[in-house]
Amino acid sequence: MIPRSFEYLRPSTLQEAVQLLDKYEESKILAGGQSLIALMKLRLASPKYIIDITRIPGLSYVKEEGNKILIGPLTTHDTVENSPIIRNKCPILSEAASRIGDQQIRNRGTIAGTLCHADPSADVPTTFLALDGEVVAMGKDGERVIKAKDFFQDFFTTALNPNEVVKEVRVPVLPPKTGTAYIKHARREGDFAIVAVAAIITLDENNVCKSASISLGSVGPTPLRAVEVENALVGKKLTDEVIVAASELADRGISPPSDIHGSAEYRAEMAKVFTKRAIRLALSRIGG
Amino acid sequence: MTEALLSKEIPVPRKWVGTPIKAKEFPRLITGQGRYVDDIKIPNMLYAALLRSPYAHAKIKRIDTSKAEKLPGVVAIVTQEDVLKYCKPYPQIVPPPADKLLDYCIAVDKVRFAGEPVAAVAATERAIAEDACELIEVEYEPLPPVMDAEEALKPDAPLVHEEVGTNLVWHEVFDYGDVDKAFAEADKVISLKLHHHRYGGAPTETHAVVADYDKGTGVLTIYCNNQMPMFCMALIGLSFNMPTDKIRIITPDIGGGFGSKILSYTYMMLISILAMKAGRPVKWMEDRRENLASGTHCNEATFYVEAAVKKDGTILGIKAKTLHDVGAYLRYEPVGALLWIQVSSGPYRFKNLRMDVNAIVTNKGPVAPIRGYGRIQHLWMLERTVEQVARQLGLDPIEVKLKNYVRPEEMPYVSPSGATYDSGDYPTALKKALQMINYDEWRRKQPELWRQGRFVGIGAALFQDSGTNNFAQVRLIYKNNPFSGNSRMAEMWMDEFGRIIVAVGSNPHGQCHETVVSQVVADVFGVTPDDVFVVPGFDSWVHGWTGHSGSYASQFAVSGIGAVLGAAKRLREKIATIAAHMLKAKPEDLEFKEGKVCVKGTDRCVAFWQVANLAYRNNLELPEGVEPGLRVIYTWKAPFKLPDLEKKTVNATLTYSYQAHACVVEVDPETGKVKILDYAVVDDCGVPINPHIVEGQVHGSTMNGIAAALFEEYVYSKDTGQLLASTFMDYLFPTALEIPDIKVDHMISPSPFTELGTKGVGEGSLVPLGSIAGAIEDALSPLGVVITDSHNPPERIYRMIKEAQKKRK
Amino acid sequence: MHFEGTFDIKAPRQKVWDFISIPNNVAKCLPDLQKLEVPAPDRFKATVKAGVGFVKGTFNFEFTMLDMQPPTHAKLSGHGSGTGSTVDLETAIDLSDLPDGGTRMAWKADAKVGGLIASVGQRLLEGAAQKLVSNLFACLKKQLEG
Repeated sequence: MIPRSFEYLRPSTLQEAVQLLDKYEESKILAGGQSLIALMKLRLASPKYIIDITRIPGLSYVKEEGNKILIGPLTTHDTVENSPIIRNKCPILSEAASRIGDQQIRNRGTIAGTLCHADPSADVPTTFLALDGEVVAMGKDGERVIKAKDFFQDFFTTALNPNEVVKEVRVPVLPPKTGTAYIKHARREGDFAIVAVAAIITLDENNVCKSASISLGSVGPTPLRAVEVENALVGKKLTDEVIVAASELADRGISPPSDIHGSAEYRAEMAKVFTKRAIRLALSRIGG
Repeated sequence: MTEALLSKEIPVPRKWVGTPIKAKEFPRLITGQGRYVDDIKIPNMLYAALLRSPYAHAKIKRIDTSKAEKLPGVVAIVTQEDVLKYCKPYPQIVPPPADKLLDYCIAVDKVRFAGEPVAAVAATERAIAEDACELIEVEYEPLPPVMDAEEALKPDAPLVHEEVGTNLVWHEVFDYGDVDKAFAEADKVISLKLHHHRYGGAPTETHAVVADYDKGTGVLTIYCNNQMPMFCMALIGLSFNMPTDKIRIITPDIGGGFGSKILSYTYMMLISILAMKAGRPVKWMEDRRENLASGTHCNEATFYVEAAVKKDGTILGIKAKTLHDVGAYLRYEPVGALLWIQVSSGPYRFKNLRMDVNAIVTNKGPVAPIRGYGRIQHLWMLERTVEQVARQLGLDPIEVKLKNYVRPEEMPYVSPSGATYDSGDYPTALKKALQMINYDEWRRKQPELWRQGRFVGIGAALFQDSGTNNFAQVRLIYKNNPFSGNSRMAEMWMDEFGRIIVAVGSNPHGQCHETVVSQVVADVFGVTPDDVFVVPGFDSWVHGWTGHSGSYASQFAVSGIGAVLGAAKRLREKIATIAAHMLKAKPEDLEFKEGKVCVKGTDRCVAFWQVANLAYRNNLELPEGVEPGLRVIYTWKAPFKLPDLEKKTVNATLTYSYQAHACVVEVDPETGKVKILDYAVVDDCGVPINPHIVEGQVHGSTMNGIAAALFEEYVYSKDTGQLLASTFMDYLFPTALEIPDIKVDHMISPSPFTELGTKGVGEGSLVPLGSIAGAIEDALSPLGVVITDSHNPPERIYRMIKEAQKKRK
Repeated sequence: MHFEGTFDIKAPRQKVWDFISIPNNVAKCLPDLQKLEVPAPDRFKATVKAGVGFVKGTFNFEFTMLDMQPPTHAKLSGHGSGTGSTVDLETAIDLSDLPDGGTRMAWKADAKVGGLIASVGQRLLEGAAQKLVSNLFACLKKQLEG
């Protein structure tokens, strides 16, 4: 349980980190290290160069700007969970962060780290997709914004180029009459989800569903949007019959994996159950 | 609380015994000042890593270590060739043909489970040793693995051990009472197939060894965390063909064991060979994946049960065929397949029992004597059977249990197998546990909850924790086994300055022996526990030991304390003799109090230091015929008899603690997930020496049982034989968030067979396996679901619900 | 794990056969090929890097072509190890003519994975293996048509 040998590099700016990424093949950014180090110790991942960005100043922050919340890449899950801005303006992200692993992990793990790791069972990526969040990627030739829907490409694979780092994570300030819920089915608190659901529901002044954003975790190689469920909600009064009927569509377009905690068939069924519960919970949280 | 009736006069005042003082060990252990094997550093020491088999079953065609040997820092590599040079195979305790089974500390010719050691590397750093493992090339020829006990018995099944010629390594039938008559007289026969799953101990500290071979003296010193090392000494000595006086075994603090650490003798030998080959000391610290994969799981068992019952729920007799999947090697087996004999009728009073017992090898990790060894499987099987008896007769399971329990006035009670239950009041304990969860209230509410679609159920069970084993029971497997009874050794002395020191060397690993010994000794000498020093750890050159030594089989409060009491009394007598001389009084007129010996009812006293001074350095003033010094040794022997080999009966353990558990669970019908709403335990371990420590053991055992019932399972792939629960991501060790608050209350039924009325309590019997299975079945009783597996994860329950709903439609 | 698939190639059967019966051609389609040795016409050794994302390992494979029935049927048996793991692979290919002069390739693959990857990678393994195997056959098609 000791990693293979590697070179340790510690840049003092993000620009320098990008240069190092560009210079060294098989290099990897170290932020919170909560997934990377575990994989290295198992020798399942063996980057030749570890670029430790944790000492770069100014990368941990939460700010509100216009209708967006800007989050520094090194902001820890604990900070995200407890940030008053996030709790008030985008509570689902705080809720998702609170469900990650345990307190020690939340003290170290970072928001950009979990997004870049792109584990489809992880809590934040699923929520980030439902939020239509954005990642600001910084590369040798400048910056670009990547939308959540484009960001997750496969297991552990994102749209970042090998020589890009995440400079900032952005999520929207949620509009009024919005209710959110992130829930997961796991055998132990803090485990990777068997199925996770993030639901964001906005009603109009007549309490008709104006928008619905539902994403599912642990049912495919990336978090997935339950588009058919969303479509079955928008434009309707969300009676329980509507919610139940819509949730039945949650297994459309998913390709769940199997493991000892849940077969693919079970996960498909749980996707429906937890979609229903997440929508109900989100709806119940919409304030007057 | 039941009356704490003490069965016999205790010869010394009971000031500290029974008092919940804080454990002496805790401050050092919880502030990180414990000293474990991994804290040991010896000059010139190397670090080892093991290469383990990726296959569950394969021939080893070639092992090429040449690339690894060239890696700078690598000093020695051990493979099967070296092991065959140093070792003979381990002796087996099974009758033919399985006695031919070959077992070494490393895979020889074949690998028989995924995770079996194939090579060991010693290098100047652990990281280098791990790098070297990756450079060792092993050419395997994969063979089909056999992953199921029933499959293993089929004529065309692959053989795990060709040298044995069968996968059935032990078979025996035990017939007690008149089973055929019981079945002839039955109103109804209930049949069930049950499966008890694999889980384990998962101790905080994994296996660890430092081996140091001194060429000059020829002494091999093994620092380890084996919990029963002097039992293992026989295996190590025989296999190494080395004089045992040249093998010194030391155990420092040990971070948990739960039985799993009895089997580490294979590692003790493998690392010793590495040290001998390298000519330098070698440390090996197992990592978590290795710990989970290398076996030391509990016995997996399949049962075919039939119960003969009367309409009123009276059980007349039980027949059970048991298939124990013991994994790839026997190691401590087939003892686990026999140990039901300690609790043959469980807490019940039926007299007729037929057990058809089969131990079977498969390509899974070898099993170990895990907490509740061999008894839990049987008690769980009985509990499931009794509950099904009730349900199939349309009776209340609680009523049927109460009806069939051994009655308090029948104690001591001789069970069908000759196991003698010493004391207890099972019906009262169960009722008390039920009161603690407000049983009547839940039963009243239950129909309404069901109508609302809430599946809430109540479960209650009582298991015994049979403690202080009689090794002679193994003669029912192998009649010439030269092992019987039980014994412990304790040494005690008062030093020249009047301080009391105890060396009991019991290899504790969380049981707080230093504390309880201090309490018992404090009472004998009229001092406080702080005045008694108990030498921590164990050193076979320092501590007295017998082959029974170690911490296992729920017995320290009986056997260890028996030895300590014997030594204490011996020492007290000698001190009294000298003090009587000094005080010019009769020894029987003296009392021990506050570090002094006094003439009763007077203020004529001598301090301990004065007595000790006379005994050692002022010995010319000693009375005639008194040997100088104040140092005694005592060996305790358990009052057992040899088994009746014809009737196959034996009193297999001395004491029977028990716990009654009651719980309320809610099953989420949409997901199959179980939530525990309330949990209560009533514990009776006779006279508790330290109620605080007993409480900790009760909580630990309950948590262990909840974990086994709902979270922990060693799942293997049926197809490839891979262990799929190989890290704590998949082997779901529960945390405080998963375990509910546990209400605990106690009863005290002193054992008539032990001096202080104590009983062993360490294993505690994992009753949640019974109570939770019953509660789930009760919750789902409107659907008629029958729980047949001891492990019930959400998907399994979900599928049972769906199937039941389909049937009902 | 069992995978199978069928695809059509715009090339005559003999051409397809000739192509796939040469180890070099097959090896080119292995993921991230690092090294190739062909000690005999029906055997080859390949070092590949495979995995998902940055979770990648190096595997040393030895492949043998078996049961060659030109130009209709072939089997490829592979045995690899690396990253504390082993992979035993059996694939079978059946070729048949299509009316348009093309060839239909039906393939089956059975993979048995042991060791580290099998025991800790369950959640990813099937998806990843499926992808690797499909990519292999898609690459063959591409090479034949390209």
